[in-house]
Amino acid sequence: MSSVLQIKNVTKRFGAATAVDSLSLDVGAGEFLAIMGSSGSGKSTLLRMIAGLEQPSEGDILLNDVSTRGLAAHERDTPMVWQSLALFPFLNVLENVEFGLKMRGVAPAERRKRAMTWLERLEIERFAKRAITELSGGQRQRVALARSLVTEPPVLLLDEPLSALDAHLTMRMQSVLSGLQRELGITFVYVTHSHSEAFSMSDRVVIMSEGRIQQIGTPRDLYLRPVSRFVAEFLGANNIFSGEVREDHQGEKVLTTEDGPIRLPERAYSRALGERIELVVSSDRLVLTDGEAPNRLSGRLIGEEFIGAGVNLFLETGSGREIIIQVPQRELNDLSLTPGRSLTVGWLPDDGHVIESDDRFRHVS
Amino acid sequence: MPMTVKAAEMPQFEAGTATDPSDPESREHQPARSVSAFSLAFSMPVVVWQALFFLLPLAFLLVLTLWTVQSFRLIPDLSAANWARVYGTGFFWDAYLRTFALATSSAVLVSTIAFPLTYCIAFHLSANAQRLAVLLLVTPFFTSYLVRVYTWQAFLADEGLINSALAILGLGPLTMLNNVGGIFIGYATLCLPLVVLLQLMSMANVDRSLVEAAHNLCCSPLRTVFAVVIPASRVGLVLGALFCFILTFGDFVSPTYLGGGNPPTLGILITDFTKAGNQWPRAAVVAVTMVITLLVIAFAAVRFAYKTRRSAL
Repeated sequence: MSSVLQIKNVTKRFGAATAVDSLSLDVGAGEFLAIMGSSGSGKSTLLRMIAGLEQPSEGDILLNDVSTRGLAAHERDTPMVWQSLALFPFLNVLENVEFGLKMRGVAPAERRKRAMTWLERLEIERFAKRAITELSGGQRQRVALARSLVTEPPVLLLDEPLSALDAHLTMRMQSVLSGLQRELGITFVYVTHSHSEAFSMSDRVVIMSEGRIQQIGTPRDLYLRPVSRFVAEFLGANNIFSGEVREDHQGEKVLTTEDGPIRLPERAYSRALGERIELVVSSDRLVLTDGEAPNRLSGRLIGEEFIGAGVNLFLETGSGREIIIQVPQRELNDLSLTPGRSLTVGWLPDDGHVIESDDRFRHVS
Repeated sequence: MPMTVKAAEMPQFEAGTATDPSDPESREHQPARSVSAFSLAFSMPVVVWQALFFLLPLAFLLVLTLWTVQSFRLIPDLSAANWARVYGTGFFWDAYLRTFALATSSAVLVSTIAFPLTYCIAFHLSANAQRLAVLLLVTPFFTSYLVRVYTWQAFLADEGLINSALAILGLGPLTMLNNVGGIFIGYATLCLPLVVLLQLMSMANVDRSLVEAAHNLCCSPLRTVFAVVIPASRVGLVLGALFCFILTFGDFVSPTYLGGGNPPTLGILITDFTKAGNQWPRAAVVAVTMVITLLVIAFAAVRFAYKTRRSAL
């Protein structure tokens, strides 16, 4: 996979504050890359540097192997979809979409034709002569996409484009976006704070914090094998146990916790005795059990949360630790969810994932 | 004498632009409902204010146009002779066209000079510097316009400060008074700070992401000014030009003291009518013509400024 976009040791400082800290990243041609992070993580600054709206303090950004150093925003072919959409209110739909072509000196007849093609593609051709103020949120979203894509750029930058839409519209736009991306083969760099947007559409996800990449990988990788406690907690829906590596009487490696020993996955058998590690178990890997399970924990039911097809149950163990378990709706039919009821959860040792004890993010929990 | 004319005109312009277009329209769009004593009581001040300070003086002005003057004395009458007389003279139409042209060109000129300054304040100054700039733009209003125009005479006169300085360099003298150039300097003194403030009102609120979006779509910074900043701040630009037109169309001071007073503008014509032969009715004809002109211009400008894009074409 050839790289369309290479970010090389880029640092961006605003006064004394460092927004992006010597960050490197390669984005492949035709890739859908999501960048996630909480606000202030530097994700938007990174996107703005790619677009040339900010210049890096150090490092370089290569577009199709060409350095963009010194290139102003209007000298780059990196259109962006704004969170506010930034559609021109004084132009109608067609004129908005034509804007980029007009600036590139495309003749009127030609640019009208190309703009109309894009309006048709996004199924908004009947609104061509409408004012922006006469459109709904979803229609505006499509105009913004058409305006950015009309020049058929190598890379499209998207800065939380769906955050202003309501839930069902977000779902529809997600399928529009991923459909377009696959069809066009254009590289999408998509900044978001929404897990569902990042995980449902992207090939790879970057988790950023404090201007650095915490982890990069496929959604599945990140979810099953977070490298740090920060990533595990950021992605939520995870149970994290910390303790020391010991050997039980059967000679198997276990993690000692306040709630008793937990058997480690075989992958972690190389860990030395006495080493402090953390074990992540995804909430969907836990099952409710009343009999035998290699790893077991009991707790009182303290809360529940419906999430569509499933339910998140919150248990509190004897030591006061909170455990999240995701249960499919059908399993709940013959289960009474009286608060305070005692439940036992179990899981296979190999569903656990060991991360290094990360002191940097220790302050959480 | 000139001050009486101005004082009568000014509230009328304000009433024309500020209340008339918005008030009756917004009431029309509301569903019909019974008028409560409460709402009536609260709308009364507007009605009374309008009647007292706009309709009544305007009506008086209209009635005055029908009076006649005999041996320097005003006689109440219903004669159309003043209208025929004033509209029948070439010098009235010359003055009308001259005044209109002067006001139009000063609106264009002052707006053009104001624009780079406004742009700089809106886009290149920090929030604190912007506040300071606004404060500085208000300071000219601390001094009377008449005083400021007199001060210009000291600078622009043939033996004034500028020509004395030029003489030291072996240049000049330049004639800067009693011509159109002098009038425009006066008009700029009158309008420039206000036009900048009005433009700033819109331009400071232009969404920055629109400017960035234009850059992002390969629009160079200079082209962005014309393609985005100007259309996005249209309301302030049009209102700035409108107020410049209104102020200069009725101005008497600059054409008299910096322009030499000859050939006359409509403002000068009004004073001439009142001075020569006590012709208040003919002065009123000129004044009514000016009020109507300004109302038409103000309505058209406000409509253009707030025109929203519809599915036209």
